[in-house]
This record gives sequence, structure tokens and C-alpha cells, in this order.
Amino acid sequence: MKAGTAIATLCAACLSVSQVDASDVSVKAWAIPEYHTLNSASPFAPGAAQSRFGKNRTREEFELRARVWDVNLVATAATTAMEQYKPEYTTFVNELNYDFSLAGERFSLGKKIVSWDVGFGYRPLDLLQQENRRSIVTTTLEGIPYLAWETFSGDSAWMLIYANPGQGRAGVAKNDESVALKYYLRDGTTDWHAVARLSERHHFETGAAISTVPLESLEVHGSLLYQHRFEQQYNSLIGTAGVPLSSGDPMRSQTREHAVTALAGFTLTGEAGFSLLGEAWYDATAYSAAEWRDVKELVSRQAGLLSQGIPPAAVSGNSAYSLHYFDQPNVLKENLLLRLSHRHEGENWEPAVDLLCTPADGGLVTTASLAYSGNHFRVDGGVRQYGGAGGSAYRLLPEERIIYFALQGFW
Amino acid sequence: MCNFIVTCFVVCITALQAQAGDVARYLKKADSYRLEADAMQVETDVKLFKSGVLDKERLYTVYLKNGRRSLVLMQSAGEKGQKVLMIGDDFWQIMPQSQRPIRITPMQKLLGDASVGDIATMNWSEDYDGSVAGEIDVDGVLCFHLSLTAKNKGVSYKRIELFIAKNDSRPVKADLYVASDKLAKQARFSVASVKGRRQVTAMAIKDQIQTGRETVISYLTRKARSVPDEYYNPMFLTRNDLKE
Repeated sequence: MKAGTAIATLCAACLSVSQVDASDVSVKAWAIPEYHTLNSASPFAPGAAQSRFGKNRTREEFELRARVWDVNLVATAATTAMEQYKPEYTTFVNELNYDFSLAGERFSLGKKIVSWDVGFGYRPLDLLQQENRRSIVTTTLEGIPYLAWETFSGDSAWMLIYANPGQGRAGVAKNDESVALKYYLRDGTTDWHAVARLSERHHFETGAAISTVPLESLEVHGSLLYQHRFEQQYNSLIGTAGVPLSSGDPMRSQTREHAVTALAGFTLTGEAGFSLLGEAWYDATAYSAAEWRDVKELVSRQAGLLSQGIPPAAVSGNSAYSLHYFDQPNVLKENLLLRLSHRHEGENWEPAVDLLCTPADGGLVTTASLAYSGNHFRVDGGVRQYGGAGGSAYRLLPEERIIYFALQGFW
Repeated sequence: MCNFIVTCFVVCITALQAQAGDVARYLKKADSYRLEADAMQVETDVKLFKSGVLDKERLYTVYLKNGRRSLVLMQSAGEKGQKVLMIGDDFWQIMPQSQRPIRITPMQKLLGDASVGDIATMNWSEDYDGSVAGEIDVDGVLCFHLSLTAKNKGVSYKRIELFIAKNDSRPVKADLYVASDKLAKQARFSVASVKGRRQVTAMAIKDQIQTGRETVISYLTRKARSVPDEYYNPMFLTRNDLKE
């Protein structure tokens, strides 16, 4: 209840401000129980005990959305209870920003969600707002601290943004200090986007995206990104002779140059309410099927040591380090996504099924979901199954299934 | 003989032009019951009924401007922060969770709790033309029957059979047909005097495909308000400058 108390205090504080009326404040409450099934056949399974894989959990979130003296505020208080872990309580500000005009120019400062890409399964141009695109339930993203200048005409826009001021090269890429420029142009039925960004981690990044509606039922989109530098983690035990164990963290970061990421996709919506989303993307910063074969061989060798009298803690600890291979936004370079959903106007039920495929190794992730929207609540439920060809990265995941529910109330 | 044919042709053309002019005039007049100025802010309450029972209620603020521009701000708790922008036949949506304006197709704007097209479009004269099909009694009101076809591709309904009162052109009833020429909805209009002016105060739309469903759109307040053109730029949807 700590999170609930925190958000209730925030609500009361907002409503006590004389210029705020109740219509400027809204609250969402979430309860998201998830049931995770361990994939004990995975060679990574010994390491899963020291990770979040295969553990049931419940997350509760309270989200406050308010407007106070023209300042936009979105704040979240959350609790997460996971098997074998102590409950975690967190409160954070998703957005706290002030948009204003000065001498005819538009400015914005504070903390804000800054999403730029046109894709759904993956968003190459989200250079600043880097988030997990494959989360099972979509909650509000956490923005980034920034200062921005914007200018708009009827059909074009420029945005110059200084993100994460003073952070330099941060521990995680999302918090890196950077300067970015975005241009937008509307040309009839087509939107064009162009971006460029300077940061210490990636040096120079530039890209473009397009979204067009050639037919009343069809939208087509694509994006392309070039990164001068990118980083990739690898296990330094790969390819070494002898006992493949390390007393310290064997994961190393290597810097590589010249990465190109590209995505193409479409959405097709029929009169009967069916929508089909199709996307294919290539992420040069992700691992190849050959790199997955290497890490699979390593963790298999490590798992084999259990029968040779090596202490299980040493094996599971080393196996757990390699689980960082699953931390990438895309598990493999090549990805295909198909999503079919149905929603008719005024209909409360929304079923959906999506297939994510990695053709290089035959991996497959299937997610089926059903949502029901009421007047003041929404219920989501679904199942995600990891599988595909034996030896594929998704088959190696030490988790084979997630069943989830998300109960949401709003006032 | 030749002169007779030419005369008949000219008479026919003139009659058709006169009728087209009549239809345009009727539509302008009918529009004035919902839109009293070129640029407006309209507060809208939408109630969705299923088998006569209230299923959902949603509140929207709609900004309209000439050039077929509409900006819809969702105001209900579950939708707060969602916006839909319509410029002619082009549409964008922004969700508060991700704050990115994405293009949606005309078909996608029909999905959701209520059709954004029904909420944000209050103007027939810019989107339709047609002919006077005759006169007919609708619920005791003598009406002109206007048979309208869309002249823009992004509209929700490709054909409308509109019935307006013969004496004052107020809208009484509309049969709304989708692209497949299927009768999708039937709308009836309530007109009352608001601040000394006769206005459409509500529109009750019966779904003809999913029978038993009815959407009642009530116009709570209307006021003339013109926001700058840049507010109708899709990228502007991420900003919060608009004071409601």
C-alpha cells in the first residue's frame, strides 16, 4: 500500500492547488499478475534461479495524470512482488513538463516522453525514448529530462532537443546526454521524418522514416537508422579452452562501428473491424544466429560441469551472466512480426494474436490476448509462448510461457 | 429539330445546376444547426447504449476549423491524453502511453468506443454533394430527401440519405452507408433553442449492423474559437499548450 499512499498524497496535493479542478486530474490503477513457466530444458536454466526468468510476480501501479498551472504531470507509484525476492516499491515521474511560447517560438522543458519512430514491433528512430517494445502490457513510458525548441508551420515541424543535460555518458544508454534534431514534413497522404543525434556513446546517428496511407484501409511505413558506433555485450569465455568458468563477471562490452537498422511494415484494416499488422526489421546491433550458437555451446558446456563435481553455485552463477544476451531490444538481427486483432466500433471485446519470428534460427514467439473495456475499467488477459526450432534463441530462453492478466480501473 | 434538342439539353443542364445549387444551399443551412462559425470549440458527451442499457459514457472536446480540420481531445478518465487529428482525408492519433503521433487510416478511425468521424465531423457541405430525391414525411415533419454521395475519400460514410425539414432545413434523419454500400447507421437529430438560436442539441445514432446498439451524441457547449494553424500540425499533438 506504500505506492497507493504515495499516489493518494500526490492526488490530494494536486487537488489542493487552487487552480486545479477535478477534471484536470485522473487516476489509473493497475494490478498485473503474471505466471511464468520455467523452461527447464534450456541450457540457461541453471542461471535462471539467479534471475527474474521463470518467476511468478504481481505488479500494482497507480498512475496520476494532472495539469497544474499549465504544467503537465504524470506520476507512477508501483509495487512489484516476485517469487524469492523482497517486494519492491518505486515511485517515479513519467512526465513533468512545461510547454510555452517565447518571442513567437515554442519551447518545452522538464521531463517528457519523446517517441519518434513509426514502427510498432520495433522503433529504430526512438533514439531518446528507448523502451522494451515487447512488454506484454503497455503502461505509460518514463520520459527523459530535456530542453527543447520547436517550430511549426501548417505541414512541417523542427525540433531541437537537449536531452539528459549534464549526464554525459550514463550507466544506461537511455540516460545519456545528447543533442538531437528532428524534422517532420507532411506531404499529402505521406509523413516524412528525419532525425540526427550526437552522443558520446553512439557519436553520430541519423535516420529517416516514412508513413503513408495509399488506400483507405492500408497504411505503409518504414524507417532507416545509421549509427556510427554501437556497443554489444559478449561473454569473454566463448572460445576459450579449459574449464569455462569465471570467478568474476565474464561479460565484456565491445564497441563496433557502422550499424544500419531498417524496418518496413503495414497495417491493413477492414470494414469488419479486423486489423492486420505486418513488420519486418533488421537490427545490426543485435546478435546473429552464429553468436547465439556460440553462447549456447558455452552455457551447455557449463551445464555439463554439474555432473563433474563442480559446485552448482559456480555453474549457475556463470550461466546467469550469459542471460544478459537476452537484454537486447531484439534477440536476433532479423525479425518478422504479424499481428491480427479485431475491434468493432463500440465493441467491448478486443481479441488479438501475434507471431514474432526470427527466420535466421527458426525462433517463434506467439502471443494471444483478449481485452475487455468497460466504462471505468479494462481487463486484459493473455498467454505468451516462446518456442520454435530447437536451438533457436527463443527456444533457449529459460522461460517457456507467460500467462498474464491486467486489471485496470480509471477515475 | 436540332434546335429543339439543344434547347432540351440546355434546359436539363440548367435544371441540374439549379438543383445542385439547391442541395449546396440546403446543406449549408443544415450544417448551420451544428456549426455556427467557421472555427469552433465543441464539448461533446457520448453515451453508448446496448439493448437500451448505458454501456459507456465518454467526453470529448472538439476543435473545428475550415479546411476540414478537426482536433479531438479525449477527456474521460480512461482516455485522458488521447488525441485524434483530422485534416481533410488524413488522420493521426496519439496515445498518452507513448506520446507519438501516428498516422491512422480512414478505416481505423471507425474503431474504438465511438466513431471519431461521428464526433468530429459536423459539416456535410464540404464533404458531400448530390440531388434532391423528393419530398417525404418523416415523423410528421415534411422533409426534403437529399441523396448525397461523398466527394472526399476519407469520410466515414460514402453515401448519406439525408432528410431535412422543408420549412427550415433543420436535419431530421440520416441514413448512413459505408463503402460497401451497406446501411451502417441511422441518425436522428434533436433540435432545440439554445441562447436564442435553433441548434442540434443531440444526435441519436442506431447501429444497423450491430442491432440493439445506439450512440447518443450530445453537444454540451459550443463556442466560436479559432486556434492557430500550427495546432493542426500532427507533431503539435505532443504539446500541451492548448488550454481547454
